[in-house]
Amino acid sequence: MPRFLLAGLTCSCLIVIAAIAAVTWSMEADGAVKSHIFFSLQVPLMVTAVLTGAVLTVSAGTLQVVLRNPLADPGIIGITSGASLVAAVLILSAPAIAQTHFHYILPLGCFIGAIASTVLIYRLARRLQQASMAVILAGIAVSTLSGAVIAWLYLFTDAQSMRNLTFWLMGSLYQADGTLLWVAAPIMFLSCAYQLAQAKKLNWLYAGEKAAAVAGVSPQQLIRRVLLAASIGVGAAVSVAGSIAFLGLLVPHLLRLLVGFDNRIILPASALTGALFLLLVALATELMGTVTFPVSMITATLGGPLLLWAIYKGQWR
Amino acid sequence: MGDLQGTMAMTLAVELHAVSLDKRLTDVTCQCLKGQSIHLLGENGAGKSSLLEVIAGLTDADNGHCRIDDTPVNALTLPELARFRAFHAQSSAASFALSVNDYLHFYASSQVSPLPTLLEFTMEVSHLLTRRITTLSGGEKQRVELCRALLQVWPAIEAGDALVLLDEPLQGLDIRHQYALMALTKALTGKGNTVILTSHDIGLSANNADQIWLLKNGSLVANGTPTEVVNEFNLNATFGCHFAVKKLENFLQIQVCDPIVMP
Repeated sequence: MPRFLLAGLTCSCLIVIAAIAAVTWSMEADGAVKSHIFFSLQVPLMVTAVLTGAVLTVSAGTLQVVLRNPLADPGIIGITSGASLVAAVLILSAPAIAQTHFHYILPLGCFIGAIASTVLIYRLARRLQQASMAVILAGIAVSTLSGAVIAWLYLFTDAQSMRNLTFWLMGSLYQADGTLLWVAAPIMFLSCAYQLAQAKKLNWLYAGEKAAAVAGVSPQQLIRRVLLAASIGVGAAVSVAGSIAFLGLLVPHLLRLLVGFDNRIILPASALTGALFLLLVALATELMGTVTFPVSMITATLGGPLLLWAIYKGQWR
Repeated sequence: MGDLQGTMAMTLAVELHAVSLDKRLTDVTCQCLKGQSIHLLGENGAGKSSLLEVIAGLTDADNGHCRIDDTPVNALTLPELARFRAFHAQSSAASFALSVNDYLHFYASSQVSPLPTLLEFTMEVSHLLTRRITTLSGGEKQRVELCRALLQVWPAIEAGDALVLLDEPLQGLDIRHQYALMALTKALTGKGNTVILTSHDIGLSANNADQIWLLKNGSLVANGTPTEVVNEFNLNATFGCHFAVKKLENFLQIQVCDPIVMP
């Protein structure tokens, strides 16, 4: 069953990639134009979709295990909003000199934002060991605060940067320019790879931190490292695609209902499902031709009802 | 069996020398031999769990040293310890509703289904494998936790090289499974494994342990074989109430003879 699932998801991803490529190749234009469109527009689009989808869902899966909270998600516990806040401040208020070096400054800013909010959440989670709800509430507080600061910034900016920002805060697969993507892509890839490599050890956290130590890994060290990897990955994802809601919360959880709790299966399956989902969004956008969807609009439209369904089914424990 | 014990009895399994820890343990010196079962008794907060954690290599002693097979325990890494040292902690809260099968499987270094015969015969958990751990009763959870701890080092147990540390393994078990656990520890030590456990059942311990360590306020009151250690004087000093100890044929009968009277 798990093997079929992973194989099926991989095939689906490849099919969607082929379909996106087919959209271009079926256009009526000469070969040079087509390959230019393919390599300079669609390849970055697909790389963005695959890597942000993967890193957001894998990080969410890891966070849920590490914080012992099935509601943990980079969006909900405030990592994304920390990154978004710094990015918004940069986009709206960075001096002209900074604009030319945006490829480097933007991801760096997002990392700082993501790591700062992760540290905050981690400290809180340590302090309030038994109150896992408090972590979620703290995340909501961080998100609300970021939202407020961004709203204040709105008052003082011109219409164009505001529109840029709005689109970016809703998440977009078309935002990334080449240089930014080549900086962020390896980071997202490594973040995913590192977290996947820890899957066996993450399984040892299910019976608590002492059990993990007994099983042969220092829990503090493991938790700190995967949290760092997750927040760097999420920071990179936010810098290329803005903030994408719900995906991370939903995917690992639905997969657990299907295939159980083994992180060696859940994490790679989450990565593939996240990638597949964003590839589908990309394909839909390509097929529509004119409209580019804000990604969060779609993830939230599908995610909201699915979440309600899961709660109703009583599977949310 | 007697000969086997005789040869193995030469090896020191665990040696504690003047171990002190914070305000929890003071100057604890004792040792046990390979293949013995040691029962650690004492009132609540006497330092039993702390002592087990020091031996398990999960907490470093502030002073003194703890050696396992002549190696200082803090010279062993967590992965090295994980191969031969089993540790059952008193409580572990599960926040995910995973199946018992997954739960055991993640920690086990041997097959979970079918479970090793010895484990299934005594702990009887195979009918629970499809249940979710969050739905188990206290005693069922306890049996699953004991299996989880033992499965982690099962190859070492088979080889007779394991050090099995159990913190209050009797907690929540019904009377049949309490005796089954005693049978299990006997089978484990019979293969050459060393078992150290904490308990509050003086009667059960006095009749099943090779050695008893009595602990009070972090210090050792007495240690030795049950017949040496379990007497009215030592029990009174450890628990602060009066006991009657009667030696029947091959059996120590222990009763509290001065029950607490409400003021």
